[in-house]
Amino acid sequence: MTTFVDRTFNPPVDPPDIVPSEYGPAVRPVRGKDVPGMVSLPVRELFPDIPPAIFRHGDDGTAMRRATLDALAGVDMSMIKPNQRVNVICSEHGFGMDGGFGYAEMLQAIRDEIVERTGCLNVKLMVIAWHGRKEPQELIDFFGLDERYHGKVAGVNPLDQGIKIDTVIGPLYGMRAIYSADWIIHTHYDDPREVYAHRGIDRITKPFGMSYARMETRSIFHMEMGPRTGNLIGRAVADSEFVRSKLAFSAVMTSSPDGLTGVDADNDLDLLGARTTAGMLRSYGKMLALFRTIDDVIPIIDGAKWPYYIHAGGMIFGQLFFNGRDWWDLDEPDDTADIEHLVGGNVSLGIKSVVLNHALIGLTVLALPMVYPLIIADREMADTMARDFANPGILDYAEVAENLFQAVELARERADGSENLMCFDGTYGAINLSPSMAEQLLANAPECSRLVDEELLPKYLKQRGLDPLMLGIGSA
Amino acid sequence: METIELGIEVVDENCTGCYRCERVCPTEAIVMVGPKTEALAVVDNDKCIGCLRCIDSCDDDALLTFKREEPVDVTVDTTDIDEDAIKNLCQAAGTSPTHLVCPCSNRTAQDIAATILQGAHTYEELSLRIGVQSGCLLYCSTPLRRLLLAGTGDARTTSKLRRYDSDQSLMNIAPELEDKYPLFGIRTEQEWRQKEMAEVEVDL
Repeated sequence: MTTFVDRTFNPPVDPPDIVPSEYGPAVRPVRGKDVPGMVSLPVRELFPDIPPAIFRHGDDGTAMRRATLDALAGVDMSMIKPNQRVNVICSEHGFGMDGGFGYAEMLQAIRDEIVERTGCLNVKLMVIAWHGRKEPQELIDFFGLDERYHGKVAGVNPLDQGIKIDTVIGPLYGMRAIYSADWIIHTHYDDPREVYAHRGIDRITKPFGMSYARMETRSIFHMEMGPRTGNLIGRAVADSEFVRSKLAFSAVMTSSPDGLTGVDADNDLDLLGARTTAGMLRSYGKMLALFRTIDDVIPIIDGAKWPYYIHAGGMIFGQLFFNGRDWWDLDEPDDTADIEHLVGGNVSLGIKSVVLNHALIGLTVLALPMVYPLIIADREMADTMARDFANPGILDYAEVAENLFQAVELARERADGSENLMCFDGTYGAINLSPSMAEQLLANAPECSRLVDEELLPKYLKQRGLDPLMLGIGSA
Repeated sequence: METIELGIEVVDENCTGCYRCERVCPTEAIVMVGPKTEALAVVDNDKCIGCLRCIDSCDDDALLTFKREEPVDVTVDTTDIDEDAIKNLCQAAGTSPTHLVCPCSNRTAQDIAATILQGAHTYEELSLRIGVQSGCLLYCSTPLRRLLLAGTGDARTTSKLRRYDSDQSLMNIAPELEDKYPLFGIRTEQEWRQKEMAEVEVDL
C-alpha cells in the first residue's frame, strides 16, 4: 500500500544511546529509526507552545548546571554544617529521560553547590534502582557518578535493609541507607510517567513511597491501595516527622516533550510540588490529549528502560498503551478501587500490533501480547525475554522475527497492512515515525490544542486548587 | 509462573561464601552449608521456583541455570474448594477474590486463599505450590502477608529473606484523613473496595 503524503518531513533523529545492561540484550544492531521510510516530527511542530528545551542528549551540561545553580540560589542551605553527612537521593528514571546526562549534570551541580556554600564534603549520592542488584552500578558506571561525587556514591535497591517511618497511616518502611544521614536532598523530575497511576495529584512525593521505599511499602502502593489513594503512601512518608526533620531541600528537573527545560528547587516541598504539578499539566497536557486520539499505530519499542517507560517525543509508551481515558480529569469517576482493573480496562484500541526491538527485563508486560500481536525483533531479544522472571511464558504469546525489518513487516501484516509506525526509542524533541503516522498526528493536533487550552488545562488546575499564575513560575 | 523450567547449579570453585544468595531466596532452596569460614552454596532444586534472584545477587559467577529435563508444573488446585471460605478469607484480608496479587505468576487473591485453605501456611509453601514470589518479589509481598495473617493468624516465613511487618490496606485508612487529603478520594475508594469485597464472587 502506498500512502500519498503531501509534504516533506525531516529525516529521523538519533535517539539517546542505550545504557548497556545485563538486564537487557546487547545494544541492537539496528534501531527503529533505521526502518526504511522513517522520518521525524518535531513536537513543537505539533504544539508550538510546548516549552522549549535547554538541554537535549548530546549537549554539554552547561545549561543544566546553570539552571541548577539558578534554582538553588533561592534555597537555604544554612542547616547543613561542615561536619555533617548529606545524602542526595536520586531515582533511576531520571537517567531514562533523554539519555540521562541532564539529570547527572543536575545531580553534580547540586553536590558542588552544597560543598561550595556549606563546606560540607560528606555529600553522598544514593542511586536507587527498581530491582536488579546490579542496576545501580550500571548507572553509576555509565554516567560517571563516582567521579561526579568524588567517590561518595552508593547503590540501593528495595530488598536492602529498611527503616521504620511512623506515618499517619501507620509504620511504613524506607530504605535505611538512604535516610542514614543528617540531611537528605530529594531530587526528582516532572516527567508525568504513569499518569494512570498517580493521576497528576501529588507527583512530588511519589518517590517517598516508591524509589525510596522498601518492597513492602511499594507493594502497599501498587497492590493494596486504590487508583487515587495510592498517592497517600508517598505523601504519608514525606509528611512524617522523620522525613521532615531530615529534608534540607528538594530539586526537580523540569521538562517538556521537547526536552529538559530547567530546574526548580525549594526548601518547601509542598510549594515545589504545586509548581511541579502545574508545570507538568501545562507541558504535557496537549501531547497526552493527542495520544488519546491515536486510532491506528504500530509502536516499535526500542529503548533503554522497560517497555512501558520508553519515550517517544517525551511521552512514554505506557501513556499510549493506557490511553483509553483522560487520567488527569479528576471529575471522571472511577468505578473500581482496583487499579489493575481500572487501568487494564482502558487499554488503547488504536494499537494494532507491537514490535519489541530493545527493552529491559524485570517488569511485567504480559498484558501486551495478551491484547495485541507482539513481534520480537530477533532471537537475541527473544532469548533475553526467555530469562525474564517477571514475564514467564511471554514467548508463548509472541512471534519472533529474524530481524527488525522482518518484525516490522510481520507487524504490518497483523495490523491489516497499517503503515503507521511510531518509535518509542527514548527521544525528546521529536518523534521518529512513518510519514503516515506523522500525518495522523498533525491532523489531530489543532483540536487537541484547542481542547486543552480552552477546557482541559483550566479544569485540571481548578480540580487541584492550583493558581493558573503558577504556570509562569519555575520554568527556565 | 505455571511451569518451572529452570534449575540452579552451583560452581563450587567460584563460590566465595558471601551468603547473598541465601538471603534473597524466597523458598530456602539455596542455603550455605558448612562453617561460616568456608561455607558454600548448596541448592535443593525441589524447592527452587526459578526466580533467578540468587544469580542476580551473585558477583562471582558461582550460580548457573540449567533447563530441567522435567519441568515442574505449579498450578492452583481447584478440587474440593469451598468458595465461601475463600471469599471470607479474601474479605478478612481486605481484598476482593479476583484482585491480581502476583502479576509475575498471574495469581489472584482467590488462588492464594484457596492454597492457604489447602494447607500452605507460609510464604515458602505458597511459592512452591503456586509460584508466587517467582518474579519481582515485590508487588505481592504485602497482599501475601495479609492473606496469610487472615488465613492462619500469622505470616510465617522460614527463609532468610528479610521481611518487615507493614501491611496497610485501603480499608485501614482513617476516613478522617479525607479532610486533610481531599484529592486522594479516600472515602470513595473505600466504598468501592467494600462493595467489591462483598459482591465479587470467587471464579476459579
